[in-house]
Amino acid sequence: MKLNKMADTQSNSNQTKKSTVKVIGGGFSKWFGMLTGRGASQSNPIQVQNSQLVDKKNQPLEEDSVAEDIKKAKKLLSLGMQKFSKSAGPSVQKGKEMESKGVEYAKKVVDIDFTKKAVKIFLVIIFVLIILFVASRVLDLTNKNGGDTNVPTPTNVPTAPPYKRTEPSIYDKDATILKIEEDAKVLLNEIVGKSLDDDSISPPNLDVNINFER
Amino acid sequence: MVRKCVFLFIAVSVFLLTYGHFVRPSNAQEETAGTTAPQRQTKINYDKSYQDYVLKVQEYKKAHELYVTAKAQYLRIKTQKSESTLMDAGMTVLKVRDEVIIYYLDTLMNRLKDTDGATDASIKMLQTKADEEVKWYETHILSLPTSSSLTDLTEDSTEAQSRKKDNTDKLIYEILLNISYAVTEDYSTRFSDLLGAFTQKFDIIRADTREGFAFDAKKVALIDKYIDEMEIIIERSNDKRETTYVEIAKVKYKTVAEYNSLLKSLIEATQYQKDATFELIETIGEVKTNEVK
Repeated sequence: MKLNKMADTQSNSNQTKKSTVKVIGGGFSKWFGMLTGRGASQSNPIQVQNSQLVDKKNQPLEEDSVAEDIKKAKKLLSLGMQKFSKSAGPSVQKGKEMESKGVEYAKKVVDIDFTKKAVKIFLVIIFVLIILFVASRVLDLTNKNGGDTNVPTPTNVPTAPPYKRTEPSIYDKDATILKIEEDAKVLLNEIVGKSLDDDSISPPNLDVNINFER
Repeated sequence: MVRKCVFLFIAVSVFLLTYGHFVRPSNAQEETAGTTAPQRQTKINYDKSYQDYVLKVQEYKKAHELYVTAKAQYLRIKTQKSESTLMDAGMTVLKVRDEVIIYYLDTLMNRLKDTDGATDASIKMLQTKADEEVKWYETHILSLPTSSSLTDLTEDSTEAQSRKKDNTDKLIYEILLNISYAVTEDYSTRFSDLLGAFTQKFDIIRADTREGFAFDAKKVALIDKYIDEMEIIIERSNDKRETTYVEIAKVKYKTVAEYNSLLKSLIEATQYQKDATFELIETIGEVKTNEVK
């Protein structure tokens, strides 16, 4: 008997669910009908069914045993939920921790990207400033040179050795010294001017592969 | 046998009459013929021999052009006449080619003899080798008219080619290196003489204690330092030259690359000589001036 009632109850609840689905479906079709201008005037069979269900719900329970069964079922369900929560607790915790780590990592990534972007922007600004500075210098120089666009390149100016004031010594006109100096200059000119590899006496270019048959 | 000899004699005579100017008369021929002085004599002027060599090279170029034309014609039509023309042109080009080598060796030897610094021993040794080569080419020229076909002429050409590759080229590089070495020897001797004269003069200056003639100790020390430096530089140059000379004497060089390598060593030795000579001029300048205090 109890079981039969429970079955009735369950079938009622199933019907309620179905009706809910149908109501949603009906709502959509009604909305669609209204859009098309037909829904308001036509009678809806789903509404009729729902009204019948409401009537059935309003009927009092015939016996308390059914309520007791429901209570027991609820208890069992709550116990099961408690056990489930106990056993699944650590995993859930781990999941939460992982989630928080992921969030932190994502924040870091966002931070790094942000830093990179900031550095890039900074470098671009510096580059632009340098270009502006160079351009201003060039313009200044151009104006100073009366419009001449040639920018003078910096050159290494040779620094002269410290000047030593000299005077001719007593041997300045010495015949031996002058003779040695003259001969040394002649020798130096010969060494510099005369090449050991004299092209004028390089071997002649002769055709040694003379063949009369090919 | 007698017939062959007569034929050879006639062939040679005809060749001489046809081409007129034979290579160069040997000493014996000159004595009998009483012609101009031999171009291979030891006292010959280098400029003259060089001029003759240049003219011979021009003659060779013309002969080579004729040979190329005759060969092209022969290969195109292959007639008996074109073959005969090619024979003549080929014989001429081979003869003149040999002559160019003879004239070139002669020019090189005269250049060596004219170079101060060349030793008599090296001149004598190289002259013997050059004479041997010249003799071979002269004999080769004489054998050319005996060739009766293009095949014979090709063989003659190949023979000369082998001789040049195996002997003549080696001798040419040896003479060229000896000329370069003689030049560096001359520089070295002259610099040593100049440095010796300067050192001698400076010893006199150093010993002079008269007022106005004596240098202060600082100046004397500086000039002594310069003399030491010059001696070290020229010693390095001489070391390099001697090492190169040993390599030249080995006669192991056979290619242009090996010749260039030895020549490079001699050029480096000359660079040292240049530095030393420049320093000598600077040192003389130091002696000729006094610093005003």
